Amino acid sequence: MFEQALAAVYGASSALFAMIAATIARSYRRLGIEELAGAAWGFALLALSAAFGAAEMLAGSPRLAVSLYAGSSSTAAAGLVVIVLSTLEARRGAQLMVAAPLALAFSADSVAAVLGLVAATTSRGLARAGFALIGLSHVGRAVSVYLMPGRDAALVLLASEALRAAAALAMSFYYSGGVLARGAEEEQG
Amino acid sequence: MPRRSRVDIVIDVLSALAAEGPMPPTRLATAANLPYDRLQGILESLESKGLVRVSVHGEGRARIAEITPEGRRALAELRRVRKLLRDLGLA
Repeated sequence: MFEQALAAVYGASSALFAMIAATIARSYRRLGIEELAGAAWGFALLALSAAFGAAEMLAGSPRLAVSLYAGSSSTAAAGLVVIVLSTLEARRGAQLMVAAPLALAFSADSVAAVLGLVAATTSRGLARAGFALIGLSHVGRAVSVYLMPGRDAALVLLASEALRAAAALAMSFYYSGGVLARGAEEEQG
Repeated sequence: MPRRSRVDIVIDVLSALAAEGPMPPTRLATAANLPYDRLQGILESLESKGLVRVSVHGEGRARIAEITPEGRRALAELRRVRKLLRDLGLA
C-alpha cells in the first residue's frame, strides 16, 4: 500500500518534470539559448529518475528493484550535474567553476572507480582485468578533472577514455562471442 | 545592477516590442536598456528565428523592428518559465 502511494507520487512528479522539460525544450528550439537546453535536459533526466523510482516501488523482483534504484540515482545525478553546469555557464562565476569539477570528481567517477575495482576483486578471468581497467580509467578521469585546465589534463583524460573504451570493447567482444556461441550450442542440443 | 542573463535580455527586447509596437532599433536599444551594438546581434539572432521582423521604411530607409506572432508566443512561454529559470539561476 505504502509502496503504491510512493509509486503514484513518483509517477506524478515524473510526468510534471517531463512537462517542464518539454516547455523549456520548446523555448530552446525557438530561441537557441544554450542554458535552456541544459535545463531541459536536466529536467528530462529528473523525470526519468522519478519514473525509475516509481517502477522500483512496483517491481516484484528484488534484483530488478535494486537495478531501478541504481538507475534512479544515476539519472538524478546526471540531471543535477547538467543543471548545475548550465547555471555555472550562465553565471560564469570563478569559484563555482572550481566547485563543478570537484563535485564531478567526488561523485560519478570516484564511485565508478571504486565499483570497478571492487567488481575486479569479485570476478575472474578477463572480467577481472576488464573491470580493473575500467575502474582505473575512472581514476584517471577523476585525476584529469583536478588537473584542468591544461595539456596534462587533456592527455590524462584522453588516455583514460582510450583505456576505458578498449577495456569495454575487449570485455563485450569476448563475452558476447561466448554468450552467442553458448546460445547456439544450447539450441543445437 | 546585477548582470542580466541572455534569457532576461531576450525577454526585455521582446517585451519592449510587444508593449510599444514597431520601433527603430535605436529606440529599442534604449527601451531594452542595451548598447546598440549588442542589440544588433540579438536582433539578428531573433530575426533569423522568425521572432522579430526588421524592415526598411521610407526614403530615409529607416529600419523598423517589430515582433512577429511567433515572437509573441515565444515571449509568453518564456514568461511562464521565467520564475523557474530565475530560481535555477538561469535568468
